[in-house]
Amino acid sequence: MGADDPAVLRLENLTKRYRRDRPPVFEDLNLDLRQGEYLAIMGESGAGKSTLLNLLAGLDKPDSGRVLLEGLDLSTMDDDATTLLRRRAVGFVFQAFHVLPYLTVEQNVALPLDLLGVASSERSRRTADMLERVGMTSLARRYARDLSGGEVQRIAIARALVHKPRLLLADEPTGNLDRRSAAQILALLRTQIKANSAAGILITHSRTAADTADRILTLDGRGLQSLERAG
Amino acid sequence: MTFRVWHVLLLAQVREQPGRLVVTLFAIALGVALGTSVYLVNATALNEFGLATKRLVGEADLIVRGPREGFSEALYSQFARDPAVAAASPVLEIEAALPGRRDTLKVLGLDPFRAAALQPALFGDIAGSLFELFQANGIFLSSGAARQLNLRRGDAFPVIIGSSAKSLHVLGILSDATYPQTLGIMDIASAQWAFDKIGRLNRIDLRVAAGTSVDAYRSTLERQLPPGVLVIAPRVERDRAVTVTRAYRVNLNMLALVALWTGAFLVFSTQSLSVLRRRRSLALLRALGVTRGELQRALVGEGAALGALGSLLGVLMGVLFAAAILQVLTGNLGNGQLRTVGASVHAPALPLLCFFFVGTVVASAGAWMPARSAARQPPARSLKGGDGDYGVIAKRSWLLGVALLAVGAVFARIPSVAGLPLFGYASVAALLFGAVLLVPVLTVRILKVAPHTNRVVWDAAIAQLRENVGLSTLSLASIIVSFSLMVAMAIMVFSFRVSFEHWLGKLLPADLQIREPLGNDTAYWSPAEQAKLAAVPGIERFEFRRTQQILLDAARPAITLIARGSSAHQAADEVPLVQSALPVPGDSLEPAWISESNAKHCRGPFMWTAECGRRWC
Repeated sequence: MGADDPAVLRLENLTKRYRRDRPPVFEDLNLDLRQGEYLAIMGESGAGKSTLLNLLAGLDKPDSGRVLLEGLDLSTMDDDATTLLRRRAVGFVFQAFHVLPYLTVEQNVALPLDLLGVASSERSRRTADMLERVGMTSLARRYARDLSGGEVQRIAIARALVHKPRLLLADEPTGNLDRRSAAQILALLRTQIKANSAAGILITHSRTAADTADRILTLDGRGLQSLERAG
Repeated sequence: MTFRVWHVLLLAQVREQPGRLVVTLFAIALGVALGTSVYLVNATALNEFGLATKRLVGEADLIVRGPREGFSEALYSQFARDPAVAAASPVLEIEAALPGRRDTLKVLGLDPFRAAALQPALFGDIAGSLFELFQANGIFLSSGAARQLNLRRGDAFPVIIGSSAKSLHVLGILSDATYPQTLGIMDIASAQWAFDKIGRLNRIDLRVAAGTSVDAYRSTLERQLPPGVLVIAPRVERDRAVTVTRAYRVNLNMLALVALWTGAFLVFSTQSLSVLRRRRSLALLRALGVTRGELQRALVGEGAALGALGSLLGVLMGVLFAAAILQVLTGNLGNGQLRTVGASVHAPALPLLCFFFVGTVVASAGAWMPARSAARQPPARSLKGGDGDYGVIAKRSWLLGVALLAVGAVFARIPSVAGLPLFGYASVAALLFGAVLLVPVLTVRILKVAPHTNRVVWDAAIAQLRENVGLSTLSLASIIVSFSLMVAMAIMVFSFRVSFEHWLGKLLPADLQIREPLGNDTAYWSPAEQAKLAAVPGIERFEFRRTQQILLDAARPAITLIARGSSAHQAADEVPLVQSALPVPGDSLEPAWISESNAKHCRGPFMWTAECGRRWC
């Protein structure tokens, strides 16, 4: 795959096991994800969905196989290079949200821009814009520790999108939101992926959420299987 | 980038744990303040002492010094006639006892015409009223002495000669610039008369003639001078004061270092706990794209910021402490050797910068290990929480812990280097760190065997500790370090007191002790007065002793000679010995027993005195 290859992410024979004396969590996974493509992965608890996301983001190492992000093989890169690539190209919404409780909402959202060294005025503009999109403008100066679970989830989503990453990884991003808010957030995720010519993977248990993606895969003992979209 | 991460982390610390931060800052500040103040007080006292000695020595090339009871002034006549000597100034140095006071007044008896050439600085204030100095029992006092004794020009005050008082008249007060410490200056003849030392001197200051080598002349004198009289270079005279207080100053500095290291450990402990507490936040930063190096530098920077702030505070506190000590305790940190009356603290920038730098570096070093550990944690795992596999760390640390304990045990047996127990200090550090490194494995083991009791609170607490064994270990290690340092200090002080009491009980086995001021040269009891004292009803047994300062080596401090017992055999029976005693020699040698600390410096028959001309063994 070359630099002009439209595939943002490619998995080749990806295998992960936690202990040598146990069967692998998954084995020989292969996947291509192209620019603008939005993929949902479903599966039972313990199937390895979150583990897969960690591997895709370079937060964990596979036992065998390769992850190629923007054409770069993560297995051949050292930790610093992987981290810098992640900083620039990946947006991550964690299952447990993970925000910094001692920072304000806008400071949390602006973190990726801070790390990328975006100029102050541009950082403020993009942060304000993203906060407006997730409906958090009125809470911008509040500390994250004072917010509800749903509000924290919105911050996490805004933070994952604010630097316009090439790959968005979202692990159960709407689990804490009511149906209406969830629909808004899912729509926002899709819009941003398409608008930025990025690629996105949504891990979810919700068929409704999965149906907002371009295609749906299930992860189980046999690997990644296609699932027909409803309607 | 590191700065941005550092800013975010420090912001977190300030917002989340302000109380803990304040305690850590204070611990660092206290360590630095202790070091700074001890240094400044010692440096100021030594500087004042050096200046004072320099004024007393003046322009002399050599100092001829005899025992405190003095030598015949005939020796001065020899020097006065010697063509190799350009100027000689006879001196009678006396520590005069004052009624109702424990301290003494140093009195210099000088020949003003001779001394004016060699100690011009001392005579600046007297020059206008030189002839007043010849008044019988007249004395000029330094301003320090006048303040201390609350005297003014024209006042009279008593000094004790034998067991009766003699009155001296204050002829004038010298300015602070002339002599900063307590001192009285008399005409030498008047001093000899007043203190009953007619025909006696105990010091002669010499300036050698042009073209004469000072070193060669000193070598010649060393061979010619009578026993008990030494020839000393002025530098050695000045350095002796430094030598006297060296052990004391080193121990004070070590105490300050211990305080500083305790502060560093507190930084280590605070940072480690803080890193463990923030492990998810730190993992999140890593997941968002903060590299290992950036995170490590930011966390070390956090420690450095704490260290810099604490050190700045500590240096300021240290200067204030030093000023207070010099003002209130006259620079005497308890050793009784260095006293500076009215000295103001001199705080040169370089040493203060050094203390600031050391405090900052030590605090950064305390933050380094937790920072490294945090940066190495896999973010995916840390995001889930828990301490991770702490057993692995425990397995690695216990071997090093045992090794350090062994090293500490070996170091404890190694003798001192240049009079300093350097390996002793290293041994304490090795034992302490060894014990701390054994804490993880012990914690893991104890938590593993902790019983399941079916009591919810207990079982939940144990489960919590098991899950966060790193936190448990660090808390335990902090308690061990602080408690062991506290216990060590208590044992050290208690042991010293018990040893001293034991030694005193052996050396002075009396219910009551009556003594003249320590180190004085003028007060004593005559045989008739001794008989009177012995006849006081109710006394079962009495024993009179005489103490005297003697100089065996010009470069070393004077030692105290105690004459005791009615016979050598009695003294031999009563003195506590660490080595079996030699048989008491015959008439050719006087027996003497020396303390352990002087054993290295006094070997074989070691001195003669000009007074009795006898060898001692």
